[in-house]
Amino acid sequence: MLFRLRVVAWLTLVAVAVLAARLHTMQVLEAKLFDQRARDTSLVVEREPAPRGRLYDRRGRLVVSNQPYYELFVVPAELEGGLTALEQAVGENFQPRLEKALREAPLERLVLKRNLDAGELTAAVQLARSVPGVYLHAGARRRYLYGKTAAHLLGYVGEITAQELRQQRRHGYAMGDLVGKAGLEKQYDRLLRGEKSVHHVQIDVLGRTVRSLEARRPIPGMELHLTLDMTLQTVAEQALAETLKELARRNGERNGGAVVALEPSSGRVLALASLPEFDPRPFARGIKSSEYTALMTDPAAPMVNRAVHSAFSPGSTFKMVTASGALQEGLCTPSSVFSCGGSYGGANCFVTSGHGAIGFEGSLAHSCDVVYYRLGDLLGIQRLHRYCAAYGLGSPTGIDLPEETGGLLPDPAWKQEALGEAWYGGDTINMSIGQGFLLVTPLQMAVATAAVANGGDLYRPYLVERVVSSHGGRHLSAQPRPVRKLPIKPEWLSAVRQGMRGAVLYGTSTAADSPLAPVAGKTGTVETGGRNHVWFVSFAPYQKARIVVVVFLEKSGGYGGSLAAPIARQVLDAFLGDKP
Amino acid sequence: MSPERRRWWPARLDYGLLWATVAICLVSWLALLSATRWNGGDEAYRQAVYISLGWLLAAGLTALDPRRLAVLTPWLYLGSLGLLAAVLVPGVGQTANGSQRWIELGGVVFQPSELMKLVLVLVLARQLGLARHDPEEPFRPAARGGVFLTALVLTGVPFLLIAGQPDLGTALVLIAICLVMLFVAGGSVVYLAGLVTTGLGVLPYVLKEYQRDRLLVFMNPELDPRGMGYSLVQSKTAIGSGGVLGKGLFSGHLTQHGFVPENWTDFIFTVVGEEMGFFGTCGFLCLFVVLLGTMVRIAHRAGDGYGGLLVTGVFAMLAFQLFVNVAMTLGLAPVVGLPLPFSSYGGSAMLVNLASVGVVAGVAFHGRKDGR
Repeated sequence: MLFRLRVVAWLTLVAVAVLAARLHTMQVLEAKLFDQRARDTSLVVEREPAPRGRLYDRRGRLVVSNQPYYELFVVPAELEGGLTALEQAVGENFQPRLEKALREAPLERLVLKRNLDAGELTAAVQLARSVPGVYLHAGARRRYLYGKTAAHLLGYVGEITAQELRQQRRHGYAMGDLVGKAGLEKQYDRLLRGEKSVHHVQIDVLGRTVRSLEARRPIPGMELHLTLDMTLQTVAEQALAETLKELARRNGERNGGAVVALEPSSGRVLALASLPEFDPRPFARGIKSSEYTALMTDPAAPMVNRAVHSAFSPGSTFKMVTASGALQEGLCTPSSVFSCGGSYGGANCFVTSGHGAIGFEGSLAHSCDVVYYRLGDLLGIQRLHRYCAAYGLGSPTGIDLPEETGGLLPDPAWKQEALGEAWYGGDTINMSIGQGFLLVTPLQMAVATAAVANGGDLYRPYLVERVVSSHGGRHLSAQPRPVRKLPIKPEWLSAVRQGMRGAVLYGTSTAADSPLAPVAGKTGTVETGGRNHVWFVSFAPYQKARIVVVVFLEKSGGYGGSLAAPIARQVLDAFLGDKP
Repeated sequence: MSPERRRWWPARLDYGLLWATVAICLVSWLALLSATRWNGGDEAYRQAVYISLGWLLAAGLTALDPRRLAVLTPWLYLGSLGLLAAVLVPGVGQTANGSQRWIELGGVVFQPSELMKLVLVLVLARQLGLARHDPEEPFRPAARGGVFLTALVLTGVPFLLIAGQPDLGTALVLIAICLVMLFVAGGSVVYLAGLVTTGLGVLPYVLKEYQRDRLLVFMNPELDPRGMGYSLVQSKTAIGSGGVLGKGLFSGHLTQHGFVPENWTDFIFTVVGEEMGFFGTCGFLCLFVVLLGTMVRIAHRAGDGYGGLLVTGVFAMLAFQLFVNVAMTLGLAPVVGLPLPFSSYGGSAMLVNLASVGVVAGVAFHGRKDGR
């Protein structure tokens, strides 16, 4: 009996040893594996967006920043009562919404109230504390300190779409993220967004948060310091708006316009206005679909940035290209004298009686079409095409804005393909005064004008001077460098400048004359079949330009000299009168 | 009267038994508190009351001479059978988790199958230990076929009543008690082996659907990771994640936030595993080894067959439950629903387990070889 008891005792000890061995395997040898499994079941990684980078203008003034907002939401499945308190706080139709959410998406956020004001916030905090399942979410949204000013340029942010997510997933974007949808917000999104914070959230078996451990602090987005001068931008938009208002009254239709101001020695964009504009603030708070539809279906196309998104015939402003090309090719000299009889090969000068005997300078100053018909005819399409390309016309300037359009630089091959027709001499003649197939953006005209003004350097225009990280480290500084040198001798460009100065002094653009500095300019009036588009390109001071201003008015009717030049004058005066 | 009887009573207490039991109760209670804390901890406080009552009961049984208990045994046995039968009567027995196990007596809910474990030990010890010895085999009472068969019948009746509840786990404890006691009492090894083989052969045909499922899930937990396999996967995860030192008492995440189902009853060992680590689980097992080792020593010193078999029965009851329960949480045995002695929440089991220790202490207290 005692022997058998001993057998039982030893067998029991062996059994316990088996348990201990198993425990050793699990808790010592494979502990890491099990610990990882425990983590997987009880840890959730949550990422919170970082504060988005701010935007400053060239004088260091804040243009876009962030402001806090609060929203109250419930997770319907977590509600365990407190419905009456909620009903009181939220008001009507809460019950049906809740019932619907409980049926369809009980674990998803049901937002009760967005954009709480200070008074509502106190009540909401109470509610979130006392009723389980009710949460208060604090977020940040974009704040535009200049309202609608420069809306196209700055752009706006919105929730990422499924398509954007597919393209951007590898850059750390996730569902529900706010991303730049247009303008600089879009172009520089990856710098502006910063890096999200990472929280390791421990949950219980029902998925409720137990504890949240911050694994990585958010890294705020980079700050963009723009080349833009918000004062000049405001002046440009106001001047443009006043004229457009007057035109809308006169024409019975709202049409758009654009103003571009560049620094010719670098390509810095000082102002870039496009009207009609949109208000970015509804986008920041979450635009309603009715508001969005209204914006998208507005015939005046407020979402289009006319300075970079749309291209038009340049009209007579193109004559500076034809003129400089003809000089370079030796087809004329600055001292040439032409004769204008009012028409050339069937095409009329806009002064139908003709300009008579007219010098090179005068041909630009008075914008004599006949002279340019002839110079264009002599140049031929191949050479004209080459000079256009040199000036960057018909191709994107490379500005740091998304979706820039290139316009159209036609040649015989293009015409054959697009229209199935041969290129005629008349096409060349038409093109030499900026009519016909050639399509350019106001920004391209500004870059070309800057090249004339600075003696032949073609710059890539840009809006961001430097990118600074939130703790002050410089991430990126713009290095203005000419994209190319125009294949035109400086003295020929000087002659073109002379002609443009003449236009302001005694020719078509006298409305742009400013007492502050000598202005040079060139008007353009484009026949469209309906009302004319009008242009005015200008720079000042004429000897050593510090600013280029291009004004474009879409279907305004009238003439560049009378409509566009006064707008340029206001922008020039604002810039020249301002002590830098 | 032996001279030992006259010794001062505290000197006759078995302190190994006492301290091992105290330590197990303490660690277990902390584990229970930890497992139920997030939900208010009511079970832990109620369990504290049961522990206290259990100790009073144990003290009483220590003082009682086991041979006097033998007189009461037939009545206890019949009474327990009556209670077990009553549990099966609709309206009297209370149902939980699909099985009728509880009965209400004077406002207290009681689980007669727990009581039956100890009563079976008593009745078998009486049957085997006080049977008239074969003069040729004085220490092998069970070698006699009649004694062997009677023991089987005495076990078989409550076994069938409990298996019918159905509560297979507890029923198996009765089998284990019976087999170990018969073996120690000198039962034929051939007969015993035959019994075990027959039992295993018959098992697949008598198992209920869900019990078969449990066996299958045990063999392959991934069969049903959301259902029954879930308990097992979570249990193993909790224990394994404890590592060497454990997450710290009240700090095991899976324990504290309800990830391990039933971790205050059948899966309470996961709490020890997760929060106290390998040191904790080994220490806990060591306490049981000390307790069980002490019992073997007491059985050796009991001097008579009856006392020795009493202790052997209690040993078998506790050791079997300990092994099956821990093996179950480690994935070494199927989920049969056996509580961990002294640990799992439950008043009946707690009282019975402590009473068993009291019976063993009584054997030591009144033993002839005590203090030699």
